[in-house]
Amino acid sequence: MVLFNRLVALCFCLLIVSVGSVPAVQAGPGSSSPDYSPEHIPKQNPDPRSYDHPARMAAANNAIDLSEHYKRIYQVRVVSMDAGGKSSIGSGFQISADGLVVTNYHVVSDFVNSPGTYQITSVANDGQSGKLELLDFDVVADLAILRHPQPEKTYLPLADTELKRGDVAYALGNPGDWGVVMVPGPTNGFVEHSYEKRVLFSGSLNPGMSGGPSLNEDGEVIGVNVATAGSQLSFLVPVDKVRKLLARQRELPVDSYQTETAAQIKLWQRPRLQQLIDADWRGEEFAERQLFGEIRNDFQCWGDTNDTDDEREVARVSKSCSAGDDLYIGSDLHTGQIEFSFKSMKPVKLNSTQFARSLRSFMTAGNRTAYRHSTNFRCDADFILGDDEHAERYQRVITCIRAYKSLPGLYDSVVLVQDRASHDAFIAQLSLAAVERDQIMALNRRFILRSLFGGSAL
Amino acid sequence: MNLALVLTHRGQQQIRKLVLQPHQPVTIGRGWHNEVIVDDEFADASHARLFLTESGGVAVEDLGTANGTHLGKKVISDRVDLRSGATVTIGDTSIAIHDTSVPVAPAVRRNSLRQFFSRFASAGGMLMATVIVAFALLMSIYTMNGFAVTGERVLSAFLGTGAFLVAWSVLAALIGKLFRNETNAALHWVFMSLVMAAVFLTGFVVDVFKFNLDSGLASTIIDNVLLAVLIATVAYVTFSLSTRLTTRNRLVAVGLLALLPVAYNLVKPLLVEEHEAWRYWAQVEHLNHPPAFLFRTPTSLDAHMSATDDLFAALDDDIKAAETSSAPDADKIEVDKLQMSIAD
Repeated sequence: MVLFNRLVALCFCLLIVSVGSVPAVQAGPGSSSPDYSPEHIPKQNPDPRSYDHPARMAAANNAIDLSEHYKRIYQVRVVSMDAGGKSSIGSGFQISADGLVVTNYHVVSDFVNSPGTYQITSVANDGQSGKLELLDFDVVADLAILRHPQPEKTYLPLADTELKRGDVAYALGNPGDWGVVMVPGPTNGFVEHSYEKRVLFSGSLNPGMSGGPSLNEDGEVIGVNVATAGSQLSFLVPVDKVRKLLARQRELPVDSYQTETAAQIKLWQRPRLQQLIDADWRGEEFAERQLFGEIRNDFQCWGDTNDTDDEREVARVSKSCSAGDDLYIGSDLHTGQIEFSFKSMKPVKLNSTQFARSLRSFMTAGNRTAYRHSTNFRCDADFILGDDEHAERYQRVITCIRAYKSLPGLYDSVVLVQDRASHDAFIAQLSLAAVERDQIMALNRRFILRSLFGGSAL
Repeated sequence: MNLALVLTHRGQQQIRKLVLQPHQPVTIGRGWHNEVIVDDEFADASHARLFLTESGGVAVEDLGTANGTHLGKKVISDRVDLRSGATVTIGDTSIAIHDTSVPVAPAVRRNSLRQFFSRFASAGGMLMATVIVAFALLMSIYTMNGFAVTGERVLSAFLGTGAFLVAWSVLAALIGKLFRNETNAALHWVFMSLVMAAVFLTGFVVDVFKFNLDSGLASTIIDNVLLAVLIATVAYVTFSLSTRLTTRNRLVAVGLLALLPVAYNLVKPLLVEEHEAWRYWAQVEHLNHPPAFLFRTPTSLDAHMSATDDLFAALDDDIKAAETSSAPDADKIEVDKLQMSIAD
């Protein structure tokens, strides 16, 4: 774990406001992260660069009037029926005359996971509140469609023009309970190193603005506010995804939410994993071994070594790679991560037995889950035949799998591959979250072969 | 009738012989007029008397005393016939009354374990045991730890082991003094040194064994068996050296002591609620040794993959089992909902 500490901690925060934290703190971008690195401290003073901010210039010079649109933002609340209080809040907006309201899936995830415990209400600009009905959701795009029983006459139209880099967007939302705010900023095309398409937006989206719309200068919706990675670095769900979800025209029954979630995850994971299984993992050298790294565009790798540590007893080189996307299913369930790492170690001050004793491996999956979602891991460990039987080394593989109770047919897997000589240890680890059985087997096998034998055999 | 009386008062023992004639009772008490005088504050001046019965046996009679006369745990209310070897208690004094015509029991064989350790109960023996444990400890420090050996670590290991040996010997000696009226401190030192040396040396061998077996179940069995053997050995020898328990009682006590921790280890997992036994991580043993210690034949990757494939069916059974058992509504873990993922 230590080796990851030096990595730039990229905080990717959803913009939901949930109960239990102090409202004043929630206002700050990224302030919810326990990993409170300096980059994420909210700036109290306005950024001097903002004088040149194209959005402000545009808003000031061209006098675009979006004031009417403030009224079209709802605050979406998930209310605990037992406690009577709100469990989380976000924003939402009406997109049709018959009262369809769009927000993020993560805003209403508490309701989806425990429909019997919560209900969804909306508070309009004039303080009118109403009960919303959940019609459909998309856990991958992070969208939900709800129906308002007493729709407003006016609504926000969806844009059908292509978004160009540098186009200015105006994000609207209700951060905390202070009222609707607008955040202008340029859009920067789609996020790189991501499997799932998201628009990169240079504006400070704040918690509570989740599910709010981002408008173009004509007042049409070009995206839905979804997450932030720190100041001026935010993400929008492109409006195409809203259209696709609307086109399904479904009204999901309450008792189908879990199977629907599982089905959506499978639908997303299958091609995502299959591509990896079939792909040619471009060779990259790591500690004198022919391995691999950023095997697809959405993977990023970080390297670390303890070369500069004079006190070191073991010389360590490590590389860890992970896919850029994961899924927020609920407060205690984030899944879909794909991570792998390599570690090469040689003793500096230890004899062979001490060196062996110093090697400890963490068998943890990269996702967040809890007892109510997952079983315990079950493991199998074996010594594996190497290339050369007479070599003074051994190869060992440990595979651990756990199942999702709430999402049938999906599993998490961790594989640990050890290649050991008396004064040399190579450890490779692969962690998969929410993947189906056949793909776990195929990807694990490929990973073991590639990390142990360079993929030459079999 | 010729009698031998063994009087024991607070650890002090005295043996008296006397002759009991018909119609001439022998009185026992604190007063100077008695034939058997007991120096015991709880005894009356004239406490009890012994006399020959018509049938030729010996009987005892209480003389109406403040604290009474006891035969075993019974209070003697009237006269009671005695068998040879019976013990009558007056105050804190116990009097074993033997008929001298009854032959004494054959000599008790000296405890062989005790004899074995007695050989070490010299300065040379203690020194030898100490050297053995020091050597084993040094071996253990070099082989059983995943860090470089520094003088500080060796020193602290030696001080710790030494302190334990001293504490054990002193404690066991005190218990011996209490129950057996002998300390045997040197024997305890020698014994515990040898036990610790054995633990240090077998620890490594057992670990290599477990590494080669590579099975969680086998490791659990080995650990529990070794724990039971260790406790049984230590308990049996300590009871022999420090108490007067009979062999049968010793074995019963040793059995209980050895089996209780094992039973606890086996039962404990069954008592933990399922949701408390849930772990975020996979619990795997960290068995790690250099290739030189691997003696088993590796399997093929295909065999591993097929074993992995079997895990899925077992997991599906886990879910079915969890559904049928009435699991409590899991406490919702409070996590920060704002945070989606962190590359830690």
